[in-house]
Amino acid sequence: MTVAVSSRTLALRRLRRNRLSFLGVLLVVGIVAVVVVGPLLWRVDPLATDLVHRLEGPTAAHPLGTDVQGRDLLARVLYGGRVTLLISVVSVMIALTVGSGLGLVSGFVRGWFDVLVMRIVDILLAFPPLLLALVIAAARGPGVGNTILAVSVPAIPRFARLMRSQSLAITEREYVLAARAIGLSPSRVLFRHVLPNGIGPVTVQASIALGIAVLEVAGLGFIGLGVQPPAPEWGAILVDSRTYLLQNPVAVLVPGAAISLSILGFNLLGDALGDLFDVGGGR
Amino acid sequence: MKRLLRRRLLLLPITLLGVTAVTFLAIHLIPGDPAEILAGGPLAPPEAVDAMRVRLGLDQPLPVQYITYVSRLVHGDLGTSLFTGRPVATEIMERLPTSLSLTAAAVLIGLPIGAGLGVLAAVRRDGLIDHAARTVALLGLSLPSFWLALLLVWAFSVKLGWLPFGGELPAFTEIERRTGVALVDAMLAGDVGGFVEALRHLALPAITLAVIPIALTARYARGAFAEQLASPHIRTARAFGIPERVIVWRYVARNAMLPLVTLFGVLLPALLGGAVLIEVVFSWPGLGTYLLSAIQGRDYAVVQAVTLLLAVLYVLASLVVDLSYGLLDPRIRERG
Repeated sequence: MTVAVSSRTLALRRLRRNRLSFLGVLLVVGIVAVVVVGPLLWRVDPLATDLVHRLEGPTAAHPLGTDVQGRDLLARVLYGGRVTLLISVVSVMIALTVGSGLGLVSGFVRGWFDVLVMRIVDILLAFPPLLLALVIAAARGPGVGNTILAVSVPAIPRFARLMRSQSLAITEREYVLAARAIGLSPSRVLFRHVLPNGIGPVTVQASIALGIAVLEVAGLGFIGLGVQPPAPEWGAILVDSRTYLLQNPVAVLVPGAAISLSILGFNLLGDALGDLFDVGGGR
Repeated sequence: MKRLLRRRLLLLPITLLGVTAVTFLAIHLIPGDPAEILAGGPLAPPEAVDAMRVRLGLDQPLPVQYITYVSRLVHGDLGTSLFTGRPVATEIMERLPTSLSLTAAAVLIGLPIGAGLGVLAAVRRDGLIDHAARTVALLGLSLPSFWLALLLVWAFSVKLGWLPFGGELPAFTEIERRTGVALVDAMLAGDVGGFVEALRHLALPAITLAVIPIALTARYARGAFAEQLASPHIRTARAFGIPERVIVWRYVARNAMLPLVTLFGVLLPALLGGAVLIEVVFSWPGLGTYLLSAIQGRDYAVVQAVTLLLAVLYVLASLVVDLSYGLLDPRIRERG
């Protein structure tokens, strides 16, 4: 920023960015709180069918209405959030561990291991992530375990690449040289010096990956390759409701909004973390 | 530049081989015995399972299978569909134009709107348009395309009744097929009514898909223009009293084009992925619906082929982006 920008404008800008970051944190914390606490307060069975009250609009007994089998949509959206978000978080944690682990070691030991890992990463990056998730889910079949596999594998290469570049840069630093010079074991140098100093940008990537994961979990559920009925999952609820768009549009509106707000929250949180660790540049 | 070109071109076959290895191995991800599953499950007669095994080449050792697979690919043989018994390559060629027409329409709508928003946002920083552009970009990247599709259908088809949805044309409409794209075929046949109908059917899926290019282009254009506007040579130009309009269009636009090129590298996978689900919602007869019905019908030859095609497209596009980056920026060219 070299042009004349008054300090007031700059302050305003920072405030607004902070406001967006705050919104991101608020969304993520809010949604997690709602899906964790919600089912404890709204104690309606998301699987209980009631064929007398099918496809009803919002009422006092069913604030979001009911689906085609008379199941309470509020309960389904609340429990569905647990399913969608939990699968997303587990998938990203797996991808983060495997990807960052590979990248960390790659950048540290270099040589043939590095070349091999990076070639595999390049090849996996050649597939649009959603497509790779689709293919894995298609081959393995639907279900929770396979959804986790389908969502985590496409996320691995980005973590690997990021952690490798961190690892490469940090191993060149003086303090790593010093740690090696005093004879610390490679694993100690790796875990005590390289890893803690390189982890910052990885958390940014994790937040972005969570947004993508929610999209993929819901997308797989939407096309019937993800979590299977009658279990509630946001994407699966959405596809159930789409046929009855005319009778109860709220049933399409709410799960979709929940997916969108989660993704928005993780994206904003990623931006906020990016500011914190000074990566990704100003936007 | 030559070194860059050589290195990238040398890496290309390695990456492509890796991509074929992934699509080849995908069939082995199937839990259990693929031959048994594809022959109809555990109740299938053993002879049928064996016949399927031979047909898929699964009785051969893995390396032999792979070599056969690649040599067939090189000869343009993408296998035959388990269900229709027709060559997958033929079926893909029938579907590809329809998919491309949707993508092209989305880009044609999205690029100008996104670029306009982004540039205005950068020029009037912190103004109303800036806020609007940033909100659009944020929402555009956060709304799942399949949900947006449902919302638009609800608003414009169900409630307002302005636009139809489902397929390329109304049911039972006959148009002489030449290119495979209803819009173009109607135009070539001089069928005004058909053209209008095709356009109306294209509108909703194209607008839904256009959200991705709008959001991405706005974000990139805003970033690129803002960075240029803040650079010293622009300050000098301003000091000389050159009108802002001239500065923006003559000095800034040219330098801001460079990061825009990388946009295509981001845009293509986003469009390819997004289009699959949008095609499904709108029953658009393109590659996405083809892929999905193949997935649901366990027609693995089709799944393999479509995946391979999309991945190869993606690899080639990122190669073009990298190379054009070098062409546009002499510094990268020199470094090679």
